[in-house]
Amino acid sequence: MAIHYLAANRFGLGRRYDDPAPAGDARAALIAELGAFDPAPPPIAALAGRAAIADAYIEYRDERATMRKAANDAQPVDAADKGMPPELQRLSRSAIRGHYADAVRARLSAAIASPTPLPERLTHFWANHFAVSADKLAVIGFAGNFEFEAIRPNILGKFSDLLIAAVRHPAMLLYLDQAQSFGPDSPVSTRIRTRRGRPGPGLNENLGREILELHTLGVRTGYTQADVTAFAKALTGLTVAGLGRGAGQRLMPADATPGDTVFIDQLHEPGPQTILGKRYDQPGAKQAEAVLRDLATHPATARHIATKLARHFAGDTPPAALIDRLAADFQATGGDLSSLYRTLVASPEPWAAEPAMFKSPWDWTVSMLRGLKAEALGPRQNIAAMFTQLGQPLWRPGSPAGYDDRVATWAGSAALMQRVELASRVAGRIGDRADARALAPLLLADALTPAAAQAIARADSPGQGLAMLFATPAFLRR
Amino acid sequence: MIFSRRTLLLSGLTAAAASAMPRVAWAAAGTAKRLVFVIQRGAADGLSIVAPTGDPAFAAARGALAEDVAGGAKLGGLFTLHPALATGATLYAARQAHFAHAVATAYRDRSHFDGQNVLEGGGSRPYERTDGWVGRLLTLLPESERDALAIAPAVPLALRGDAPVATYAPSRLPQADADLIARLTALYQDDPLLHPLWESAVRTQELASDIGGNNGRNGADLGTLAASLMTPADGARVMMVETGGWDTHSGQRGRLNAQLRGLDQLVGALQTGLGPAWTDTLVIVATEFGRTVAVNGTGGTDHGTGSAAMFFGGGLAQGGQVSADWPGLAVAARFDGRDLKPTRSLESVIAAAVAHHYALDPARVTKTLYPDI
Repeated sequence: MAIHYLAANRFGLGRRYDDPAPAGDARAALIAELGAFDPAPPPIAALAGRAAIADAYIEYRDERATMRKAANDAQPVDAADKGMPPELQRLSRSAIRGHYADAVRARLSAAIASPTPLPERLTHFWANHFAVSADKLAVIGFAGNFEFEAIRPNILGKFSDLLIAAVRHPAMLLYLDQAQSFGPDSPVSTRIRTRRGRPGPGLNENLGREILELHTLGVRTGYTQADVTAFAKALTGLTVAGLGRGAGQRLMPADATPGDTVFIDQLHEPGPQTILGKRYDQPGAKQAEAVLRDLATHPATARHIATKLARHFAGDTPPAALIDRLAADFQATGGDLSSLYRTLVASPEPWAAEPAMFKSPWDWTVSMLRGLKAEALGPRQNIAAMFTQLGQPLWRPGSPAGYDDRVATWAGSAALMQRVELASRVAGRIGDRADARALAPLLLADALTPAAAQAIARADSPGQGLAMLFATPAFLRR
Repeated sequence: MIFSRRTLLLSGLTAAAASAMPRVAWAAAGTAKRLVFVIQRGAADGLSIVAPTGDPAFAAARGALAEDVAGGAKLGGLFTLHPALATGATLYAARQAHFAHAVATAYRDRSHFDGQNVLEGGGSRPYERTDGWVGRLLTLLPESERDALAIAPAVPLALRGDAPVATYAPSRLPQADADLIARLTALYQDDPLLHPLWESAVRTQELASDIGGNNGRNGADLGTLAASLMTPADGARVMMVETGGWDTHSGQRGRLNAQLRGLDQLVGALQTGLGPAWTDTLVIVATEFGRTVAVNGTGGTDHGTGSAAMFFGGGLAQGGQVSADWPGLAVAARFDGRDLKPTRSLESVIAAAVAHHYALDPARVTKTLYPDI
């Protein structure tokens, strides 16, 4: 059993070039990482906050609205970009894209430098569990901020707190349309209906449904359409200052900064809601919070989270014993995540040599860059575009389900060729500034096979040796 | 073995090559023997190229694919040459073409990589040899006939051995070079996940630049280039030319037609370009294995076993013949119930042609080219 390789790759992000030679109690070292995790390392702490990101979006939106007015175009503001000259679109979008690109770079820098790769990996895991997708313009700028502010500081505490932080973040509210959801009988909708004699703005079930299906209970676990509707009603009132549109924006509290998550009672559906057979009659924002806290400790949630975590660390079809143990831990502790990770590390199943998992493009790239001392990517490398080319655009899985966490998701033939080409390019830049023969036993530790070592040693140049190292079967897997 | 990703030439390359070469050098070429090995990477369908139209099971097994060869040249009572091979038919009539059918290497599985490794290395099983049969042949040749060159970014396995071999490749080589790709191929060979993924990745790269492109002119350009590299007095005498794009799993009719038109123009350009030296030239066209007798559900054929090899040149021993110990295409006669059964070894056919061409002792040639068989 290649215990040091598994500790570094299955649980971590790959060994760094300056890590000490693998030795000692790998499990204890992993547990120790949980206590040493820095939720805001320098590259992330240096990023712009929500207000600046919101400003970039508002600027873009206003600019576009002005353009439209000039063109006498009646299209709604958030529709497609039609009607605006491409140059101008590029210009006004650049600030939003700038926030996205900055966040991608910060995430990569933090991952490469991290002395605590297990909690780093768990951050990436939870960001994918609570996936937002930077397909909507309003989400692009916020996607990184979502991971850094909602997920990252909450991965070691209670699942309920992580859930509530994720659900309340503007990226989630905008992505799953909560910012535009109105209680059908809320004061605002009622007023509009009465005055204009037509239906007012109404309910959007998107967030409520995905919380049940993806974030907590899991699909087909017994909740009904009535539960979804009631939960969506309970969530109404939750919106984002400055970014939503329509009637709600006029009701924003005066002291709200654009980009803030706010609760507006006037948008909230009044009265009690019954969800999964339980009646919730809390007032205002407390209603949805009570539902979320119950969902967070529901047995179906325990099993759903246990299964996903087990799959991430033990392969496509995780052993039932592991899932049972994790689910039991989750329920016994009321969703204490640190306890869950300790149980995971102590379990035998993730340490089995088979089945090996295939690194995602992100995992693979990070592990390659952790292994190199010299600057491996050119100064003009567009990092975000690089991950898109490798098949994993960051924070853009295209669906709230996130990237499917299975071997087949990443092990494709074109994707493999892309990796080899990138490895080749990186190796070309590094040349003989790194010796793959010395690096191989350090990075692959106890998983370096004689065949791989020999293939690397027989390379026709130091650069080719390096490319071979990053393309060895063990390096492609975790 | 080498899997060059862009082995073939993009149009416009010939002009560049021609400007770098003496324009006419026939007079200086003398009468030294020349050998051209054209490898068909991807498993060319011998049953469409030299179609056994006289076999009672052929029409039924091949369906629409059988119609394609209807207008081709008759090669005796049993076989018809694919109509795209017009030059081939002319050469056959002039006793300058020989088709050997129902042949296969010692390899009996159906992986391209492994099959090409055996075809090039000349071993009895994949990855047995680190040198190739053409490379070993060079040791038998007089010095004046030993200059070898591959039109490829790196030396293909078939040409590797003790003798130095040059390569000539068009500019703009790919980032992940062919040699790295080859080394990774060996590294992944026993990996159940990576081996098929990699095989498919490399095949896709190869498909991007096949001889069938540009209405066959890519093939003509390649033939012209190869000839121009072989005609000078100090030019190459042994040449390897890579062709890809033969893996016709779907839509075989159009694709194979384009491939064969390219191959035909390649051979025609070699003949034209070599001029008088054609008389002393042997062109061998071979593939790693054949394709299934039956047509699959997507108008193509899948990996098979027996196939056909082609020999062209001015002094063939068996010019104007189709040689075959024909096994028949009835299901019971097939290999594994699906493939054309190989009844002769490709190695023995190649060795015989080479021995005749260079007037060498056949036993010695066989022992040198195929020591493990």
